[in-house]
Amino acid sequence: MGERVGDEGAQARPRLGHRLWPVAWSALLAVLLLGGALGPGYVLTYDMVWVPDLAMRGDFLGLGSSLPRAVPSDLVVALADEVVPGGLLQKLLLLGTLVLAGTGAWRLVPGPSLVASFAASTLYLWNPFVVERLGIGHWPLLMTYAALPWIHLSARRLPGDRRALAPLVLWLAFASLSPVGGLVAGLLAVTSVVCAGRPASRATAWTALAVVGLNAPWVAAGLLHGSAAVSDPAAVALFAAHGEGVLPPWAAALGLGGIWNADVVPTSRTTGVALASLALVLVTCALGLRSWLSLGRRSDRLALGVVAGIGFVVAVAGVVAGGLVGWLVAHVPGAGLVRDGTRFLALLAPVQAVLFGLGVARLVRAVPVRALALAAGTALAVSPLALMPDAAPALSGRLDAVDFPEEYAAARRALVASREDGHGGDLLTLPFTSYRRPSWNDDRRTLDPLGRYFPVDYLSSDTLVVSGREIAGEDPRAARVGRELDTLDGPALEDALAAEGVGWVVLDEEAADALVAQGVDGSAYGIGVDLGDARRIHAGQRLTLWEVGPPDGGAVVTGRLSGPQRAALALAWLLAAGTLGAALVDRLRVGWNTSRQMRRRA
Amino acid sequence: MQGMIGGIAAIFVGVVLAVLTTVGVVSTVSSAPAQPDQSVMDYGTNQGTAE
Repeated sequence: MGERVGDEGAQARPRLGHRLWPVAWSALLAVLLLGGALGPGYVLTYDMVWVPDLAMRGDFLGLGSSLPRAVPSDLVVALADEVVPGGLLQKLLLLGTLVLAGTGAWRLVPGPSLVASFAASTLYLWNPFVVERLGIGHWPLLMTYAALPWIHLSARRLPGDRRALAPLVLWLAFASLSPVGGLVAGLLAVTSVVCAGRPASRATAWTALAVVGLNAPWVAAGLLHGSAAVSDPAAVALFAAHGEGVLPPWAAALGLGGIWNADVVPTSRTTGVALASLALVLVTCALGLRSWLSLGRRSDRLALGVVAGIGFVVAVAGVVAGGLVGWLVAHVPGAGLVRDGTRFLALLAPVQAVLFGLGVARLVRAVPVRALALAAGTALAVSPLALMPDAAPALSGRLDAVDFPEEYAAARRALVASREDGHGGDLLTLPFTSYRRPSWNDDRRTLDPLGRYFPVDYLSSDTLVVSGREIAGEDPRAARVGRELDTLDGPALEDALAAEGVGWVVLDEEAADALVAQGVDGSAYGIGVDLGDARRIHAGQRLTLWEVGPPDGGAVVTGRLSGPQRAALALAWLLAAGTLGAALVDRLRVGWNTSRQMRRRA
Repeated sequence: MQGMIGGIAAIFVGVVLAVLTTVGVVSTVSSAPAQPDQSVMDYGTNQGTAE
């Protein structure tokens, strides 16, 4: 076996063959996992909504009235899909993320054992965390997850090698497209630097500054929303870790599962197989502990162990200390980030993958007959697949790509024409509920895609319903509009909406019909909205689109950011861009110098 | 050469073992209870599977 970058003291580059193995294996698993998601079209599942062309708009910078949950991920997608079409970009991103996760875990394993890396890579890619977060559409969190091994490998080098700073910052940027992702990545980076075993005060300071800089946009946008940055404490119990099959919440979390939403849990996790899987992983990890103590660095054990402990505690906090978490969420701005605590299980996965890999390798070594050892090692290394086969393909079809109905494009053109005629304002999407089950998406649940599909800022409901129980949203403007839809109609409603800055209203007819069929009052949620004399600019089978208010759009909206607040937000974006730009320049400079030296030697 | 063939055969046996496990899990999964029905408005459900 050749040396790997992750080995103690190994600086030599691994041979090409040994660099291809992890990529090839990870790519194979990723393709198996994504299946139909890689076909033509777009994957729409829960919070993952991609559209053909996500147009740039102010809300993506954090200027809107809602909490900046998609800052900066929406901005990055809006910029990137100017170069690569949205559908292709989504596939490249999902595939690339999973390949990076698998190859990162491969490199994280100390020692020369190929089977250890092979097994670690398999578990890191094929586990309940990855499958459930794919199912619920948390792709920015999966990017964080993929970057964690690379962040650790860069961060541990930093105290002794300043050149590691640029790669570390770039990995942190990759990992920080969502607030929770930024927190998770930042925590691991700082811990890995602090635990690196050398005097690291400067390295720690640089890392902390980079974390603050890269996360400044969503932090600033969140702080500027003031009281709206606290959440409904009732949500803590609903979003707490959830048992899977025979496993109680804490055991499901220990096996990297336990997501609150039973709808995205693979069926295999709801049977006794989940218990067998957990037992196998834990026993194998226990066997790998001795190898990790002898082969691995103490600093790695400390860093990965500490963050794994934190991740597990946060994941089960909603179950064991729901009252405390509820108080935090209700009173501390931003604390709502921990209400879906199992997202932090990403921090437990690296240590579990390393121990699992080393455990498999130890078992293989313990079997005296080579052929038997190889057979057992192979079976054990691929056991994560065998014990959760319904994750493939595409989570048993849940991630299959679909196309948007042609009518959507016609409605979008109508809105663009209206805007070019001088009309302005935001788009209100109705029914005023957050999630849809469109027939063209095979009745699979998705966040209302209309807001992202149209090219203007939008206002949609931020109230969540879990098992019939409503969780209040944080956007005061959405709450006002919800009340107006319930109490007003005709010209009075049109005036009220215009006063909230609404310039267009779109009604998803199919979603409205589905609500009525389920017995929801036809006057609620804007289902049978009456907009008086508002001009209808598109009327189709699926969508109806109205122009609302005066030709120049709505009146001044209260609750939007003031001039100084906008300046503070701009400063935060400059800080993030500056941090990223400096790292890019430094990385290019190092690459340029290295290639120049190689040319001289040649 | 003999060692390499033996190694490949052993890996093949390992893969067969994994496939057999997969078949067993798939048959268990196919008889598992269905997920509970949800309202159109639901973001998701935190209720267990329906027995």
